[in-house]
Amino acid sequence: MNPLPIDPKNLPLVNGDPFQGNLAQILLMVILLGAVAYLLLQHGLIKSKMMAWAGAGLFAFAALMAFTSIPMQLDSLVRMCFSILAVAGGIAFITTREPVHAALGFATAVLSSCGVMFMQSAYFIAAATMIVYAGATIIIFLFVLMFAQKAQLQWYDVQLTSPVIATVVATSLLLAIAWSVSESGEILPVKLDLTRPYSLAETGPSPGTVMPPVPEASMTQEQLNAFVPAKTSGLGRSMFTDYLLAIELAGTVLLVATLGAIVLAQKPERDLS
Amino acid sequence: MIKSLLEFWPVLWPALAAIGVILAVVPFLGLYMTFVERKIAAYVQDRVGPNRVGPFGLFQAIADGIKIFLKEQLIPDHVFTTLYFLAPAFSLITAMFALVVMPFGPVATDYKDGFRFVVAPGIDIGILMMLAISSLSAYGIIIGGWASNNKYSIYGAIRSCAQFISYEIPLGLSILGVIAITGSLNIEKIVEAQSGSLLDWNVFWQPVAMLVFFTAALAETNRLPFDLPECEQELVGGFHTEYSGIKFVLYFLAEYTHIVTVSFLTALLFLGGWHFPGLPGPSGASTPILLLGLGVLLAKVALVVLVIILLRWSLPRFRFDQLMGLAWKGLIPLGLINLVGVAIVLSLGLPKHLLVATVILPVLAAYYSAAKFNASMASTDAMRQGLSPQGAVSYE
Amino acid sequence: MSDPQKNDPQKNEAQMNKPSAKKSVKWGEAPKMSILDALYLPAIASGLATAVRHAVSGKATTRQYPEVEPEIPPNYRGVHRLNRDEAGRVKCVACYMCQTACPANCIEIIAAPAPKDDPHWKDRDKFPATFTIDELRCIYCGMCEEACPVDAIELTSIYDLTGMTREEMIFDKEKLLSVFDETVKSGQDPVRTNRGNLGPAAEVSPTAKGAPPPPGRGKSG
Repeated sequence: MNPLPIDPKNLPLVNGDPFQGNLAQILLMVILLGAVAYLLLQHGLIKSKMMAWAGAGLFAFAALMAFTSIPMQLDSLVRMCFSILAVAGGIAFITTREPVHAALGFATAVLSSCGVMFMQSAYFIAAATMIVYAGATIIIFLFVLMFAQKAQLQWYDVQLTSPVIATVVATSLLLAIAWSVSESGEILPVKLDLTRPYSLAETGPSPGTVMPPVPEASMTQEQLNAFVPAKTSGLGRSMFTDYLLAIELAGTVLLVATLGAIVLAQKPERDLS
Repeated sequence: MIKSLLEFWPVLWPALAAIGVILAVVPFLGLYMTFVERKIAAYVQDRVGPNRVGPFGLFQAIADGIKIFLKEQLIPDHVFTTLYFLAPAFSLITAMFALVVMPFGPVATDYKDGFRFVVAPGIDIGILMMLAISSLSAYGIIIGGWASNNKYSIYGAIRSCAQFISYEIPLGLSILGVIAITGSLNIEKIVEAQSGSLLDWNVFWQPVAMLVFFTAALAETNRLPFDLPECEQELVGGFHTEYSGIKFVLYFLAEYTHIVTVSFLTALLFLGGWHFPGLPGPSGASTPILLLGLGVLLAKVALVVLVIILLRWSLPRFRFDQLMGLAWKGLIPLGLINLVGVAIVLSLGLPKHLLVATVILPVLAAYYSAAKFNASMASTDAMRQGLSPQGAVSYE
Repeated sequence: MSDPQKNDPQKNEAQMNKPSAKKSVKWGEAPKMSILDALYLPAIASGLATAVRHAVSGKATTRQYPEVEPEIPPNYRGVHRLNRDEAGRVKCVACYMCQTACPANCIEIIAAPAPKDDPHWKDRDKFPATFTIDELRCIYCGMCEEACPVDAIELTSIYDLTGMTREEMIFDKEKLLSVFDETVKSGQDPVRTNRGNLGPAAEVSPTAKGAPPPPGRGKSG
């Protein structure tokens, strides 16, 4: 451990806190506005320019709202840069026509997310994401793309299938995430379960700790040790006990995504009539 | 904001100083490693090597540097310009960024304020971080090869993809044994665990892991036995066919930075880092002791660099299927079995030096593969001679 | 491999009689791979040992060129020269043989009739008014000196011909004659021609008397 002498939480706010405390409502509004903007944009691109511009404007408004409503500290400026980069990478991923550019956009999004995780002191998950996604998965994508690149896009590559369903699903997902993060900064008390011998519950943070836990200079070494498993064995145990569900869920999501990719990859029969 | 930055200053300046050291030394090192490599290559081939510019040709590297900086910036018409320019930069950025958590001198694990021989001390996932960042170094090559929009370049990029993905696995597997016994991903703690006698160095109880690590790491650097992505005889220049001048320098600097990184990692993880029998550890040590430790570490690193350079002039290049076979059929099984051995020793509480016995693994593997090879040769022979019923029809 | 082939008795018989199946064919034994071969490490170690042995042997074979010049064999084909005869005149008789023989078209001769009233030139009909060789275009094949009936053009052993412009690499008659003077002075004469002796064309032609042409050129062939 290398405790910083300065608590980053005491850093001055950069922009003040204009919407004191109403973060949940603001987030809800931003997400709903964004959803409407997306639908407008999608329909506008097909039907009229005016609608597309309106959608883009609404998007910009929602982004501005989110930007101004989030209390900013010095370190959150860096975090914000990473987030913007991640969003830009994601947009590049779904909008570029060149498959290799799309893969690189994905890589940008993943790496920027890793940056955000680093800023949140989630080193392990950041490094693991970097190795697994940026270091292996996307490189395999690129490998395949370089081999199997087609000269032209097919009609099913550019056709919108069901924007409304996509928007609804994405909005509900975002709402779920927003709801879970706007739970007023406290983590649920961890039950001390001695029947699980290797659980982090033995050494985990005490109930009511503000997340992310910040080491303070006044803490004893024992308290500091509680933040991180002392050994890599602790890391492994915690991964397979405390975070077992999350890890298995992540694996399942990947499996489902693979299945989805296989389904999508089948060339649809073109309706000749 | 400035006030808070000033408050950070005592924490900030050692990191900035270490960054300065790395930024100053690495390009210089890259420049002079080309010189050392040329000299060694010359001696191995019974030549003299560069000896015209300056005493013993020492200024040759500088002359080369000046020349290549002043070269014409050639940009072919058919490249995808943005990515074409981005790729070499990305290559060097990833190569240098991996040095962030790497101690380049003795670092005590009770981190004190003041200058330390590492940019970011006490990162609990140190080695994982290094692996993560160096796994990104494939991007520079892949993007460069693709953006060159040239068949040779893209072949280099594709080969590089396959090679990187394959050799990441044994690289990770070989380190896992060390990590499991040390119980930490922190590089300084891994080195700390090797203090004491000579026999505490990881190489003496993880010889197979070191072999696998060194081979895989060499493959990640694209050095000669593994330089399929840029082999001149087949692919002109591979991924850097279309690069010249300063952009080419960035690629080369990245490659040499990789060699330095790999050598440092080998020395830190397996050769005891800055420890040497009789030398006190860095914790609370005086400056001369620290400098002595730095010298020990650098000597070990120089030894590894020397081996890497000599290997280039003693081994021929792999064929691509041999390259893949080495990773998937040789290194990965060895690494896995070695890891299982470590797990058994750890969970049964046996003394860790029993793991020396893992040297039997490659011998067994060699016995097996020799037997397999001889059997297949014999059957082919019988087929050719028409002795086996198969051969009577398959020949003609 | 296919079934009809297998069932065909004639074909099967032919296959059994193929040369490889005969007893008279001697089969070499494929070398067996030992454990050490399959381990690769001894081979790598021996390769490294070879590299290190050479590296520390200190027996560099490099020649320090500008200081130590190489010994050029006298039959080396380097820069051309135009020979002079005993009287100091250019030996060339402007017969265009070299220009015709040249595969690179680098020789250009303009002939002029020898001044008849000058006693110095009275035994010659023609002489080259200009004689230029483009040394950049020349491929140094030596066809010109093979073709020359009077051994007037020769390739010397001068190998380090350099120039800053293309113009200065085009040698005219004076330059070619000065090359002759230099090489004679420094004793770097080429060996393959009969310097000082005129070739067969300068003598009374044997073909005119119905005899077969001489097999070689010059008196010593």
